[in-house]
Amino acid sequence: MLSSMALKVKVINKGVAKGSLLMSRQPISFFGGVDPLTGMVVEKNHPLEGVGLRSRILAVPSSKGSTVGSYVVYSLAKRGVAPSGIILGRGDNIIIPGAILGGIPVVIVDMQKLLSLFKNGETVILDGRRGRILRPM
Amino acid sequence: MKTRITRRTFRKILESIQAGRKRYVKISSAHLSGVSYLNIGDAGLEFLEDLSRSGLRFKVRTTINPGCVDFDSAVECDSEVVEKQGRIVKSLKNMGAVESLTCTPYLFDNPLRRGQKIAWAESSAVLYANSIIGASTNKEGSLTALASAILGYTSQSGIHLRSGGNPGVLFEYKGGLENELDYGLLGYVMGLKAGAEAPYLRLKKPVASIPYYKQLLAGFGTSGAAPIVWIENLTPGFSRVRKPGRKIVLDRSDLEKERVTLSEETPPPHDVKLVFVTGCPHMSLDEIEDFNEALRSINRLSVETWVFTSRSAYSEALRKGLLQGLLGKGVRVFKDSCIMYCSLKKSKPYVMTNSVKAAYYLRGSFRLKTILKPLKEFIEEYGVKQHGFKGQGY
Repeated sequence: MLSSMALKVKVINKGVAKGSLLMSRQPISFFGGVDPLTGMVVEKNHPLEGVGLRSRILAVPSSKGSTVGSYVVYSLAKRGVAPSGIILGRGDNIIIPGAILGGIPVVIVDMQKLLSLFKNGETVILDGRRGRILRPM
Repeated sequence: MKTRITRRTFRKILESIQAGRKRYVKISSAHLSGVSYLNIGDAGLEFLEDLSRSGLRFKVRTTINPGCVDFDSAVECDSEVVEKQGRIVKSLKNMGAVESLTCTPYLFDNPLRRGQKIAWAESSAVLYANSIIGASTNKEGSLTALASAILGYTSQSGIHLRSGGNPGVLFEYKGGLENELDYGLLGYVMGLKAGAEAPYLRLKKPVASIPYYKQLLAGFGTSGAAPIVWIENLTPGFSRVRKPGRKIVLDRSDLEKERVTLSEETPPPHDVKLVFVTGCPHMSLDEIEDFNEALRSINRLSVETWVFTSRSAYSEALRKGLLQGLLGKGVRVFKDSCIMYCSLKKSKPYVMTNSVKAAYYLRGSFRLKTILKPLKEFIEEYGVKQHGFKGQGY
């Protein structure tokens, strides 16, 4: 049943988002690695290179690179090309402040569980109020 | 976008980085990094302009790091960069920042006293504030320092906890330390080896030169994580702190091993310009005076020489007649900006410097070739004694 498919998460920035899941085992650098105008991943040889973040539920273990990445996350949100929700594998002082500035829900999960329960590209609901990720009815 | 930026937004940022804990420490001073347009780009500019329009203002004395442009001699910079750097400074000023544009705010613009709790970004200034003055700050990031400037408090973590800044590893250095570059390299090596621990440093023959320790701390801040280096016989409270059990012994070969990763062994090709830069961190008034003195015996330098300092030290030096001597010998003195200067990114010269930190970032971020050289050696090699007589060197 539905409830058995929900994955418990730790809520970092409250909010609810729905979108297709975009998962990567590689950390992401927003500064230099994501085009701030389009939300396209531009980092060479990143597994997500060429993919747009807009309206996706982005799941990455953490950020990497410059702390200026926080401003890029904010800028993406302002332009409406940011992920609609962000799932992280651990605490992170670049993506989280940026998401708070941009009003993007953020949760922390056990990445292994996420990868085993959900498939890339499937639509999920990130319920950053009740602390869970689930498939829509 | 759904949210408006409010004080609550910044409180949430401080909360999020201490994993939801809500413990805070009141602060009386803030210093912000993330000021240079070359660093924060259009996204940062946009954010700071939005923030300054939000009506939020700084609650405590707040100074700001250098930008990438000296507004009085910005001719070599793209006009777009100059304009955008100006807008960043204006936004910060609107929120109440002191237009210090320096990485050495502790000298003039944001003076500290021992025991003062503060929220500073800029690693070299953090290390100086804690290790030399005995103030108390973590290595804040651009955004957490900004949050603290607006809120008047910071998260109660790291050095603000009871035994937060205590040393975890003792360093003994057995070799000789001859100049500021040796000190910078020693700091850099300690940073690489200390991990997250704060080091306690014991030197065989300690010197009483603040500029040397300034280089040591800037080098440490470049490679290390801790906000403080406990320097025996110098750091306030060093005698009362418990000495760590873990010990690392360093000698000259450890310094040499890192020096070669930051310094070219061959001179630049003939079609590539060489520039000497110094003042990373910004030169103090005393250092400007010493440099002036060291140049007394020469007529000019055969290599283009750039000095970086704060606006405040610049005006003091001008008033004391120290700058005229430097300018007369062909030295350029920059303020409001730092070695990560707009035109260096474009023109790609070889950069010679006495600063380990400068070499590290010029190589890493600007992709320039760098050569490490202490100031005194540089003057000996490139100083021209009489008109028409060229010094040795490359």
